[in-house]
Amino acid sequence: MRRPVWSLTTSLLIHAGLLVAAVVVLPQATLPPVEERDPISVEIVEVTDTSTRVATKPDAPKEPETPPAPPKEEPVPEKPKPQAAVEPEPLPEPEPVVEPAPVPDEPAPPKPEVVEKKAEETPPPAPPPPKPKPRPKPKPKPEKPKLNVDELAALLNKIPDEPPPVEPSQTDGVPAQGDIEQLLGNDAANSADLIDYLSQATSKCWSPPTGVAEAQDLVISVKINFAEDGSVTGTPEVMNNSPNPLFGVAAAAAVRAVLICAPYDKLPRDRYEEWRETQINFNPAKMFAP
Amino acid sequence: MFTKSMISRRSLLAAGAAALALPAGMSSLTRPAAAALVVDVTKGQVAPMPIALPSFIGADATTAELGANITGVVASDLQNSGLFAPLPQESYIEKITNFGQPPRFADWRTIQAQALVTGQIVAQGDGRVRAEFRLWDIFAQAQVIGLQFTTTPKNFRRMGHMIADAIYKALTGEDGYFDTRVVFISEEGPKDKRVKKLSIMDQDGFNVRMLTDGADLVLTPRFSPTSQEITYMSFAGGNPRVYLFNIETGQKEIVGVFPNMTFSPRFSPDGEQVIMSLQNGGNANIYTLDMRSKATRQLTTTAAIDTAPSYSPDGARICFESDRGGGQQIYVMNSDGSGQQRISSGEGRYSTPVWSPRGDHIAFTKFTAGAFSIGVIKPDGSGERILTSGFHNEGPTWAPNGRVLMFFRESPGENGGPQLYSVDLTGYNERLIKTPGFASDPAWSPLLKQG
Repeated sequence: MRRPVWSLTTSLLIHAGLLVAAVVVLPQATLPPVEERDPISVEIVEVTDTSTRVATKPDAPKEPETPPAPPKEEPVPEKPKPQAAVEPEPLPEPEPVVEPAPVPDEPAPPKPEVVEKKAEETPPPAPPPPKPKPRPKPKPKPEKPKLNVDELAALLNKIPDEPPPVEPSQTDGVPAQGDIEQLLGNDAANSADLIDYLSQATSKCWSPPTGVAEAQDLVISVKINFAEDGSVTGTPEVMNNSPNPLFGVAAAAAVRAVLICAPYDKLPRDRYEEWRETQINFNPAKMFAP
Repeated sequence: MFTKSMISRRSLLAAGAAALALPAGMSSLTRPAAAALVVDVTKGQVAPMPIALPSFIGADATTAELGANITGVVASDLQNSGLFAPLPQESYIEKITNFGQPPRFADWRTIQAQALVTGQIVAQGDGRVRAEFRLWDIFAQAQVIGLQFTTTPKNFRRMGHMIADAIYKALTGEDGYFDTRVVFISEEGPKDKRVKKLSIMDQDGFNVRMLTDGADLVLTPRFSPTSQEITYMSFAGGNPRVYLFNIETGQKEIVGVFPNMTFSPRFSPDGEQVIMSLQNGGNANIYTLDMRSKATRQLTTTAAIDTAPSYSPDGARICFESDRGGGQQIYVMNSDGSGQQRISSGEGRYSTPVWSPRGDHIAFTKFTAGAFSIGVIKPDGSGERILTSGFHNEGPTWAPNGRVLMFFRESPGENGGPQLYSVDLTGYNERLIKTPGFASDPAWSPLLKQG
């Protein structure tokens, strides 16, 4: 008869499973695998929250540099002909620019007036396009495994996959969790709040070119010299280059972001040396991830 | 909005390493050559750019009015693109009175403008006017572009579109699409007795003109690459045929003489071929017709219905619709008919594939689960995305910059009918294009030739 053998095997298997589960699962269950990361996230979230308030402050009336209505020649440079002060940047031959060939069927222009009004009324139907933001969804909380015999096999299978579900995209394989806590404890960690504040503040002012596939790889590095009051000295310098035809537009957007957000008056003066020269890398890749 | 993930650990490490590299006490003595602090910003705003558009000025009432009208066209184009937010003129602090003078940047910064367009209209004396404008970057305090256009005053809408295109290109890096036209089918009368006329309008729904009188049924108009000619299908004379129509001269001609019905025509990117379907019994195959030699070439030979061919922008490949595998699906092939390969794989029926002018996507109509959707898929069959879905959406056509699509949407019921809509490649910014009556089968022109 096979039956006893079968049930013996089953029983052995279950017991072995139980044992393994007890060894492997139980201690794990007492460790909160996800919460391990919480100290870090909470840290950063708190700082972020603070800086959010800062960055929201309108910076409108203040000006980094007093531009006392610069001499008329300056912003309108390269005036080739000193004739009419009105001439815009010289265009080769402006004359024949617009002479569209109108469609021949003039006879039946169906009440353009009506059309015009209608079109004018066109209400913007959709709100300005919020970009589909592929948010990293919060990881489903790992189920606390109950020691149900029926689920043993499944549990055992899961164990290798289960341990702290670190979001892989962010680790870059670098720090183990303990390391980060150390980092936060030492001097270097102090820069984290500066980095966070600056990153947070400028991200609010940065609108990179959207919808263009080729722009997604365009990282723009900008070097900024700060004055002690957190204002920007001179013009931020774009440090890299690319033959991509969209580079100019992307670079202008990055520089604009830095200037729009200035002054950064929450930067601590007593640590001026840490931030007086700052490089910001604007990387839109994650914004457009499908 | 902002999460911890936005600071990469790499940047933390980099900053940490930089700090550690300098022994305590040394850091204030020796300043590193590279920037001390490195910050990564990986999230930005996808918000329309606030732009100020004070009415172009003019020396007299006529030019001033023209200036206001042109500015209105520019503002509306930019707004409709979804990428710009024109600021209300009432909020402007500085009043532009002298085009030759730089603006007071601080005043524009105060109202949160990031860009400013100033312009003026000058009467030339020969009945024509010159529009001059400058685009300013408010925060960089610099002129981005300065251009001028000349035309007759009645062409003011086109002038506005050209200025809007120039601004769009300068600020987004992409070509614009405002100075374009759309051909479509105007539909009038009760649902069971629709009169369909070939029609043309500006991209924004203005300047609608009828090109045919509605005596014959017309379908699927398509622009030539020069925008001067349209090819379409008509039932004139009872048998469906592909026609060519010159919008400048009004001349019509039948494309090729075939024993059976021809349909679903489209130009090749160089304008030298028309590609279409030719019926053969219960089947249809895809043919090209050379416009000069009038030679035809058969590209597909299946016992199925192969139709709706559309060239890739480089002319090397063709996408089309076929039911050879059962239901309608999208296929691609080389322009000589070799290498035919199915690329759509989802459930439902796919039809009307159209290759993007940018080459990176193929738009389609999809019918599944009782709904018609407009979607895009990459030419290799990956990345299928639905942009809009509902009772009846059909017939996508691309703006020349490959960023915006137009299609028609039929509303249900006795009094329902088709209307034209546009939507971004992102699936956002859906807009109704107002037409005098019902409208279907839109086809977007290339950018119009200047001059």
